[in-house]
Amino acid sequence: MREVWQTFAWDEIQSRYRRSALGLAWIVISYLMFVGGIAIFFGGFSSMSEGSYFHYIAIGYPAFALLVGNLSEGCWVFRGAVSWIHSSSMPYSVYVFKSIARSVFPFFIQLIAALIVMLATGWRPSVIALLAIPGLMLIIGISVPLQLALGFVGARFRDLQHLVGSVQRLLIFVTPVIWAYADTAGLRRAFAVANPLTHFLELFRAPLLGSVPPTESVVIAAVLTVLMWAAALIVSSRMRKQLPFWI
Amino acid sequence: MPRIVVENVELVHPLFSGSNEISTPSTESRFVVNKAGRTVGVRALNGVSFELSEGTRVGVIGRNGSGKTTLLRVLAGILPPDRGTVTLEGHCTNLININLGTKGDASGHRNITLQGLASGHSREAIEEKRDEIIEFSELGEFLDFPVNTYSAGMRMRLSFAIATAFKPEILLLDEWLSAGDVEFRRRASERMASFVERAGVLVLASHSQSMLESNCDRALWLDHGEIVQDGPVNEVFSAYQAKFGGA
Repeated sequence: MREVWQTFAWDEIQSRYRRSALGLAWIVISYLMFVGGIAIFFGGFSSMSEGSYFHYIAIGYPAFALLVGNLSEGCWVFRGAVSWIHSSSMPYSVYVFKSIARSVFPFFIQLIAALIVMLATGWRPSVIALLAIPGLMLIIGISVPLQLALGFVGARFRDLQHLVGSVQRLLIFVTPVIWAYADTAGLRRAFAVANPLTHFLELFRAPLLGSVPPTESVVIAAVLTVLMWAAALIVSSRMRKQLPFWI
Repeated sequence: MPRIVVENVELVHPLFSGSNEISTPSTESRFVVNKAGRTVGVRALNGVSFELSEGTRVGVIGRNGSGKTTLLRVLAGILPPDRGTVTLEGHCTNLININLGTKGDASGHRNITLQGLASGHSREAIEEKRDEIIEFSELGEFLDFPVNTYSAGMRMRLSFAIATAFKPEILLLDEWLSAGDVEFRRRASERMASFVERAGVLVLASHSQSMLESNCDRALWLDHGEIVQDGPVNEVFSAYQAKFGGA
């Protein structure tokens, strides 16, 4: 089965950039444009030095995009595969793995671009950076049940994708991606702590910027992942039978 | 040994009609009505039982909406039945709708790979069969172009070539096959005959008497989701024609 979702994911990545002259280079170009733009316009608002603000956004943004992408992709994970679900008896998890593989690929391209640009601008990794690996694994570990659950619920309740779309637009402002977690206090801090994205982001970003992620983030992210798996298994056992009729 | 055993299968096809619409309670027994008196589904299959042993070539006949395609989907494992059991022994390939399970923007060659993987074959097995598929489909260099650019007949040849190349033990075909031209139908019939010689099980839904009589020895007549008659293809077809007029 692994071969199936890998091939499908790779095919979809290719077809997204097929017939464009720059092809896969667009992943890097649009990433650098966004990160560069944000660093220029918002860097001044942060207490961080210009260089470290750039590193903060360069690492944080791809991880944020990977996390948040699950929401919209999740709603479409089965509806977008309707032609296959109606013609093949492959397990539904194949479509979830395919969807995640398709987002992880640009993530790694952006991460490599980020590390190259950061090395050129004075960033040096420490041993702590290795902690980003379990952080990333936890991000992927919650992506699977999240997309699975959203896929089923989104196929049944068509309002979900609109709700998710509306919320998603706000998330970049609510989550500490372009502003620093450390700069905040009071209500904004409370919002950041209550936002699950903050913690998953911290697990990946903090080690790469040289600090051990806060214990509370580790605990919250781990608990949320377990809860999400439980929710996804319940949703899928109740809804899987009806799925072909809903999409 | 390939075999299909279907026991007392019942399937309700849920009907969705925007949640606020008031549908008049139906008196027809096919409709499934919930406690509030709203029509929630239509009984697509009811008390369907039959057994197909190796080498059986069975035709499925019935008017539009009689449950032919639903039955094929249940056999293919795409729709799980609400009640009853379906036991399939042997590798099963279905061609229920030729446009399902093809990626329009990918090339013919790419589709051979994707569809092969989706039906559970290894890459090596796919490469082994590629020449045979190219030959039967008669698409030649067209295989390098996206499937979107193909005519309906070309798509049909490609899908049929892929589905039959891997020597499935059970083959499920829906009525689209009858839409092919004389030449395609002749070649398809030849291929199905050689398939049945290998003691496979063939299930073919069709409205075409010649198609059914040249490819099947047995027929199932479905009406309103129930089996009206199960017997030799000539007998069943004459009874069907006597009831509903010429084919």
